[in-house]
Amino acid sequence: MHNPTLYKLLYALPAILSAGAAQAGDLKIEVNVPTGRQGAVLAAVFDKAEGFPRGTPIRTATAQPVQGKATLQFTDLPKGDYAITAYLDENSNTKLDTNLFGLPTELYGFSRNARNLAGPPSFADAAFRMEDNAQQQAFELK
Amino acid sequence: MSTHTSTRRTALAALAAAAAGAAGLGHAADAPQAWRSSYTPHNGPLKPALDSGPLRIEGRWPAALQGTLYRVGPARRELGGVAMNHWFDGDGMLQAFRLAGGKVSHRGALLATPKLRAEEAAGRLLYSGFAQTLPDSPPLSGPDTVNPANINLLSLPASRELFALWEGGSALAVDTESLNARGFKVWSPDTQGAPFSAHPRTTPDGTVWSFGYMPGTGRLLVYEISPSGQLRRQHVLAAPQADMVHDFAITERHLVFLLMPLKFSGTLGAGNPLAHYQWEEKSPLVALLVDKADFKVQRFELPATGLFHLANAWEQGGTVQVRFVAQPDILGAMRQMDVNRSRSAKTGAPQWAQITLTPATGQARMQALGPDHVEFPRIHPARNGLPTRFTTMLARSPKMDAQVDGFDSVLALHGEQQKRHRYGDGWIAEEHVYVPSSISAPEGRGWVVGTAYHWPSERTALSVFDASAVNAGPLARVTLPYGLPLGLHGQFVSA
Repeated sequence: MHNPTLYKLLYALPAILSAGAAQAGDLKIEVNVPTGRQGAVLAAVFDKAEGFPRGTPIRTATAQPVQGKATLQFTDLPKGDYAITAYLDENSNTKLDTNLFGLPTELYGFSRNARNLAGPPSFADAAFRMEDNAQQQAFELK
Repeated sequence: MSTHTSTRRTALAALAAAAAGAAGLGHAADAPQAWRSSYTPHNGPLKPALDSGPLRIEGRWPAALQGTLYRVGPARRELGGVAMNHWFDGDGMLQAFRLAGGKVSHRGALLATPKLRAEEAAGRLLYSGFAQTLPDSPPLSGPDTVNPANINLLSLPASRELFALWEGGSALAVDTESLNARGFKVWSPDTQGAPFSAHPRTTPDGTVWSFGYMPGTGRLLVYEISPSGQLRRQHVLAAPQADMVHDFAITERHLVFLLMPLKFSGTLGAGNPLAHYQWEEKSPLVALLVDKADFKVQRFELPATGLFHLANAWEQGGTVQVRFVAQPDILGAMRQMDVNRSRSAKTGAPQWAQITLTPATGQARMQALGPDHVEFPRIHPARNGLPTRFTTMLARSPKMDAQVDGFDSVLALHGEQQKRHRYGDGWIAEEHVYVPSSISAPEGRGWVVGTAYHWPSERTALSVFDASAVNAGPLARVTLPYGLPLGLHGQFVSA
């Protein structure tokens, strides 16, 4: 569908042009899914507290778990703080289903395994810092 | 009371004491440890289910009384050196007293909820409870992560299903024979993982009405379920004062919610909720009358009181009648419900009371009725929503050891007439249920069945009374060769 190489070049362009003023790195996410559960993992990247986690993310990605692990790649993220949301879309409707009290009924998780029963965790609790080198984050869907 | 009755009762008490002594285990809890002593044997790593085999019957067990009395309550309170001491905390243990062919036996098993399995794997209690915060309590996926299924049971005879209920999460399906947990019930995608009350109400035609609440959300979720367990309707009501709603009532036309001025201002899932409740002195008790047909709500205001349990409600001459047990100092009472604590002087004894709502005028009236120091009201199981005059409940007599919390008597209230049986020194009575002699039997015919814990011998006994003569003492009794954890509610499922 998308050409990852092209995307990489497009995203890298501003960095190259500004000659190091805004550096970028690649992010690899490993999402652990309980074995025996079916469905794609849908992940979204946020770069600020505003609009987290229900607003529009700066990037999204989808991956099928293999042996309980889904791996997602985000390339050339500018230096800064990020938080990731992910859920297991068991009924393939591309939304996180909730019950009448607003509690998720599909497995979900946040970067740094941030969690809060009364609602989503804060951006600060889920956030990690990207420098200009490659980074890896892992968290669980529960 | 007749000499005959008195003699029989004394003889039964002597038999019970002898049976306890014959076990030869030398248990002897003192009054301050009475509550604690009932839980101690069930603490620690998961043990095999208890099976009594056929029990020796003292007296004459009524041959027509056939079925199973299921009871549930908090049981395991300690694992890996971590203890939970509030009455409402502790993993649910399901008890089944089987009455068949003139024989009585007991089986009891802890319910293997996800909470119990996670804590068993960790070798210690992990999660904060209703009244106690554990440091490093893991984050929750939803309320069912900590659902101990420890308050009440729902039986669906048409589909032979049984559920163990908490009020903060889903109903837990359990196997009626093995008592094994089968998993949380999903009534519909929209209600998956949502709270399901510990006090659903079954109408005479088998329809089950229930509700769910989450403190701080201002919402009540109503469930209407067919006799065979299919969800017919679900509906969300706006209910600003629904921060602790333990029970409700139904009539032929309405649902009745009594919403206490007890405000929750904490964060769910972050530590224990009890610390974040406050009594709002100046707010009323709110009654919501909800039309079953279209869920339209009429709101009434009454003088502030707390409550746990309603007995029943019904339509009568343009009014809605409600019978319930008022708990004027419910927050103070809940703060003292600690199994390690001796009873301290209390204000505001629980009081049998009535409310009259008049929809046409919007008028609401509350009135104290006869008995006080009572709780756990139970009615004819096929008369939910119909007028009732017969209610059984537990009562506390002035003779009960001042250091020991709870109740020592069973009370049958028939109209204005009260008949009581006091178990005696050393006994704590648990909820007693009314089992009519047949489902169409007039009120007051049949039996009253219930358990009581004898702390000096650390043994539990099951007694059956003639419902019309509770004051004559038990018709028959079995004493288990072990003690059961003091529990909460039970349901009798006829054979």
